[in-house]
Amino acid sequence: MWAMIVRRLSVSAISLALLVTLVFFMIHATPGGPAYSILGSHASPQAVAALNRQMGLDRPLPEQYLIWWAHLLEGRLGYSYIQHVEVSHLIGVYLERTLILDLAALGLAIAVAIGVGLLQGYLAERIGGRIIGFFQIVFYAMPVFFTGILLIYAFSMQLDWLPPGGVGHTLAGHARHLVLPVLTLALPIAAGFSRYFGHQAREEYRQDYVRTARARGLCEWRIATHHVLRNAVRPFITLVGMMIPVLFVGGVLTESVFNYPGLGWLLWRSALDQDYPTVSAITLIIGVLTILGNLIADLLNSMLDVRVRYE
Amino acid sequence: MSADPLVAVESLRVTARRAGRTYPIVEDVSFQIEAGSLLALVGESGCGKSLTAAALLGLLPWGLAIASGRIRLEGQDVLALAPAQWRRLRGRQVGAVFQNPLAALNPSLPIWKQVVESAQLAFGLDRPAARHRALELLERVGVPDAAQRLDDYPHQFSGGMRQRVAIAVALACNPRVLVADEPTTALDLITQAEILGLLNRLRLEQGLAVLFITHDLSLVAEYADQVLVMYAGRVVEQAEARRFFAGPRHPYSRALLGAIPRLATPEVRLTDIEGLPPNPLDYPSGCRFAPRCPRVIDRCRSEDPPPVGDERQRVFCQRPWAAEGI
Repeated sequence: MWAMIVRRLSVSAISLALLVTLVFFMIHATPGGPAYSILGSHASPQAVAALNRQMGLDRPLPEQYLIWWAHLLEGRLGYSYIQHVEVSHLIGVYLERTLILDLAALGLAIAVAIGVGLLQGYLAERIGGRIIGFFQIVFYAMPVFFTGILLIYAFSMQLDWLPPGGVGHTLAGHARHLVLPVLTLALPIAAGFSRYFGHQAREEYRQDYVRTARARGLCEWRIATHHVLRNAVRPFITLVGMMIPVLFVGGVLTESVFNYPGLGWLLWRSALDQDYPTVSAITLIIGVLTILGNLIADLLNSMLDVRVRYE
Repeated sequence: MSADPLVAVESLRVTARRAGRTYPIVEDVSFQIEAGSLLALVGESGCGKSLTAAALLGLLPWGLAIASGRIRLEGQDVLALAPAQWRRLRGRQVGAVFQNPLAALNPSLPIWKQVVESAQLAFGLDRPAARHRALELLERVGVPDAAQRLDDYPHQFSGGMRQRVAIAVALACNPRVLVADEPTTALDLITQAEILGLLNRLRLEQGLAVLFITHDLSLVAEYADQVLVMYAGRVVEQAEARRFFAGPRHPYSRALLGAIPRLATPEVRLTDIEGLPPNPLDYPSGCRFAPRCPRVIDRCRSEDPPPVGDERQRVFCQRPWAAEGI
């Protein structure tokens, strides 16, 4: 078990190093180099050369690469020439808002997926199971901006129950502002998750141990929660880990529809402004979160797998 | 025995619905099993023997239903019960063991939890009491070093041991009826004999009424009190075991016995049965065995076979073999 954890941690470390390297080359691959994007495409060659020297971009690439690592280890993600601020200062508050939105949506999606998936697995080919399957496809296919605008139209404009966007200033205000974006972001994810988990649950319901459980008089609720769930949940955990970048991409759209100032919104603005240091830093953060998500999913899985635990 | 039988099935009929039509899958099956007695329900795959057991347990697969008949467990008419009440009888009055012990246990729960789960729910045992009960049950079914194995998981047991654990699961609430649906089919010959011996010992010790389902007549020759042979959803022969093994009267029963290899007389050629059993959605009229029967006459194809004989040995056939005098 411990050998497995060490092995898994080293895989994550290697992935992280590769990610950092990739982002480094991504910055250097910007058309014309960073100086052009700062000074504009009509800048004189002298001005570009001067800026390159000032930023250390005229040094050999390996040296710049080492400096990039040194800065990262100090927690410096770069300097935004558009906003004139250290990217790490910029990102903090946006990252927090995004984590709140994404984790709330993820939690809701997982809860819905497990409930709906167990029901779907139990119903199998019965009419109820088919109806659930139909709505999963519909909700999965609905684009975030469409759902978002529909929800804003219904709950903000017609019913006037919830704000159409932005953030609140009190705790209750925050919560009220989160309801619609969380629903919008969670809906397609819940649809995808529940379809996958429903399939897993259905496979488990076909297993003989379910019949044995029924034959000893257990009720369906107990069979679902104590037997099927336990076995169906492991591949699902892997899927959730893998879906974290997708969740974030959905978050970009959701945050722009609801004008919610999170990391996705910042990514969208920075991309429009060609603020490459900020875009690279956000890419790096998403990458780190993805690697962490997969690591947690794998560790959880091995803890739940009795065969791994007892070896 | 003068007491009421523990299991009484009367004219059971199970039907399947497909595309708006209903098809009979099991027709007119009746039997009784008394305490301490073993009834062997025999037939080829697809003859309806497992569905008869599933009906008795109230666990028919979706799409199948009991169309008519009566099932009484310890005198209680279970078909008159609400589903939740019937569910409560499972485990407490009737336990079940199935064919594939490798899949019958939940792979991610330690065995002691599975063995006593129903007893915990039924009697509200606390954890130490439940573990004690699990130990007692595992010892009763002959799991060696049971005390050390309580926390083991199913994959740490061999097939035979898992079937012993599955039997312990079935007996956790002291049911008086046990349904054993091909419990030894997936096991090797030595283990088969051990599991059979265990089931027989438990039946004698606890006075269990056992419904033993198998496609292999030789397995039950030693232990059965009654034999019921099914073919294509119907009973073809039903007899006291002594009479049946002395001389089965239905051509199908004879053919089944003829297909068993014998160590003592290896020079006798095995006979197999020509053809395949009919499709349940398209049963032939008259006797359903007629297309494969060596003794078939014209009337077999047009008329349902009449019952012949008495309750000690009844056969449904136009031309049965003569009864052996006992």
